[in-house]
Amino acid sequence: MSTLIEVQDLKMYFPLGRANLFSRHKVFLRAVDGVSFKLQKGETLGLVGESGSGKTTLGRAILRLIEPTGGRILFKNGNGVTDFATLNRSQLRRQWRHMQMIFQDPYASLNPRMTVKEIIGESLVANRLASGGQMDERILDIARLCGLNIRQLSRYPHAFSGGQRQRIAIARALVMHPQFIVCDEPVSALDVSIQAQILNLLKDLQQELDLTYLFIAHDLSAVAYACDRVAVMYLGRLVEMATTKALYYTPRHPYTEALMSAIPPDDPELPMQPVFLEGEQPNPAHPPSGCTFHPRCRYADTERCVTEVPRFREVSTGHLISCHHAESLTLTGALEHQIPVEPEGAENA
Amino acid sequence: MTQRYLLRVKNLKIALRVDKNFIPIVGGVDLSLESGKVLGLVGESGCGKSVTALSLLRLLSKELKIEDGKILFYGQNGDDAVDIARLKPKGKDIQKIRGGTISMIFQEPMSSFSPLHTIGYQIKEVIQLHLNVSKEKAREMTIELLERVGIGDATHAVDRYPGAFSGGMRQRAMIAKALSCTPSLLIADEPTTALDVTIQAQILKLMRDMQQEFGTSIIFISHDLGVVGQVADEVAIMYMGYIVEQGPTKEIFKIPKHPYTVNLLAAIPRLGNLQARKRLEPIKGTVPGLFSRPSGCAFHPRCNSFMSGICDGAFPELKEVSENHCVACYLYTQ
Repeated sequence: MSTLIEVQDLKMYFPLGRANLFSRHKVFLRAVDGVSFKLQKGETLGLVGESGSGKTTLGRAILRLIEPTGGRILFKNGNGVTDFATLNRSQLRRQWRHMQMIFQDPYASLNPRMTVKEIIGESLVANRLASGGQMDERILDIARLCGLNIRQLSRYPHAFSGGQRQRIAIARALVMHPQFIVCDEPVSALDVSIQAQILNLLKDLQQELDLTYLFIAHDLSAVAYACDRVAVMYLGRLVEMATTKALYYTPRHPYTEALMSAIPPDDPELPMQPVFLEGEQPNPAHPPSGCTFHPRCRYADTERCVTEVPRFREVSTGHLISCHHAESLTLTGALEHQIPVEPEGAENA
Repeated sequence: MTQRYLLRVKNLKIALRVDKNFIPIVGGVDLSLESGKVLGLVGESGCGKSVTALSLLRLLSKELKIEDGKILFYGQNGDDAVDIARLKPKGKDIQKIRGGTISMIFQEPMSSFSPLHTIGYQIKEVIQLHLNVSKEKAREMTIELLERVGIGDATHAVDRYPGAFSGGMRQRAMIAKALSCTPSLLIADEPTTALDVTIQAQILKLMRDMQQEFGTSIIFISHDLGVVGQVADEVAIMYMGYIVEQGPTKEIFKIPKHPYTVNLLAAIPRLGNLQARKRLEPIKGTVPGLFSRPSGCAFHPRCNSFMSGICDGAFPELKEVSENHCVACYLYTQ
């Protein structure tokens, strides 16, 4: 596998104004503060974290839907490497066809005044990629692939259910044959029985079209199902990144441990033993010094945790952690003996 | 057998008024809750679980009407049951029950407090309304309650406005408010859905602790089977206004009977599936709209074991298949 996207030291600061009326010192909210990672072609990288940790901002900044404050976004396309962060507006427009986004709320992300066909075809028109019969063909192809009823393409979004709308949003993202898609909470607004349909659709499309996903979600079980690797974000920084299995069953950052212990087990007889985090999530405008997690961490004991920002480093192959104690801690992961019970009623059903 | 039940709902029917017609939303719910137990009510959005819960406190909006059925609430001391369905929604009797012996926690901790009054004021209000105590005593009790639910520095927090509280803190304050008069029944409508997992775990533990300490019975409404499995003694699964299966939590998870329950369990991403690398099996189709309710068993168009001529005929009755385990499906009623 080759690297498709490399994000280096990406920063997204939002100005909050001055510290006080007479101060020259400006205050920034560091929504994304120096995030670096690589995405391999054809993989799904999950991005999890509490609300307010900067997941969505990171996803948007990578696509430059908002202008990042600093950093590089290297996109390897065929023979060359483009730094996405330095492109001007018209170059950006041309590059966007390779990178698309699927939003959380399919009720808000589709224009109610456009028919489904217009919604899916809009980007083809805007980029002058196809017209006339050729365009129709591409729209039909992608609609079919996304499981839409092609006889309903002249209808408006309100005629569709949430799951169907999310399929429309996926078709719209895929019509230009992009290589990379940011999925921002693609199933959280959907009913439980529909989530599986969309998760499976995303998986099938990935195989068929060789897509690379950045999968942002807060539902840890859905992330486990959808992703090859997972990164955990806390207050604008990545704290751990590893393969899904390693991250869930052998986490090495105390914050990940707390997250994993809070997943309700499959088997109701297994008691949940969550690690409780002390206190509240700090205000991102005034993050704690040193390791931002130290006030809530039960392993933070040294002066280093309070003063020195831990480096995000590879502790074992493919397992990156930013914790001063990463080498010495043994943490518990999600309950491992969660073998799905074969329902006895299944053969009847 | 004396006083086994705290609450029994019999054939509860709720309809929604659209123009001049009434469309059934909840089509005949039977529920029973034993004293001191936790009942999980599970279903997808629009299946009628919240409406059922609201009707228990007669909080339904004007468009919704209880058409038929009984809501028998036995109360603590075991005297005569009150039929809540017969009470006037704005009468004195129901107001005594609301917040006093039955209280409720809502999904959105952001919108369930008034932003214009302090947290302390809003909790104190409930205490003073239901218990005959002085202002000072009520304030003391409020501070104690806030400490109980794990809000640090409660003596100061009591005078803060909801805006200064995070989502998790607000939900904890909501629990404090709901438990302020030691109700015998607590209705929790998706209490953790809007919260992060780590906070969700805290809230679940808090609810379990409170239940044990005060002996409160809980009706826990959620769409998340994993969460329900952790807190509930019994689970009832709802689909399109009917309870399709009810039984002990363990049995529902290990030997689900109704095809909808079976499919739902197979469609949810769970960590066990991660290890087994099993593909999720989605339920085909979508939940039909209110105006196009399928005949007979509402699940039949999506069911894999649909029997033509049987399932689309009359609605299947909820029948007991093993002890305390009821299913409404023709597969089990031959």
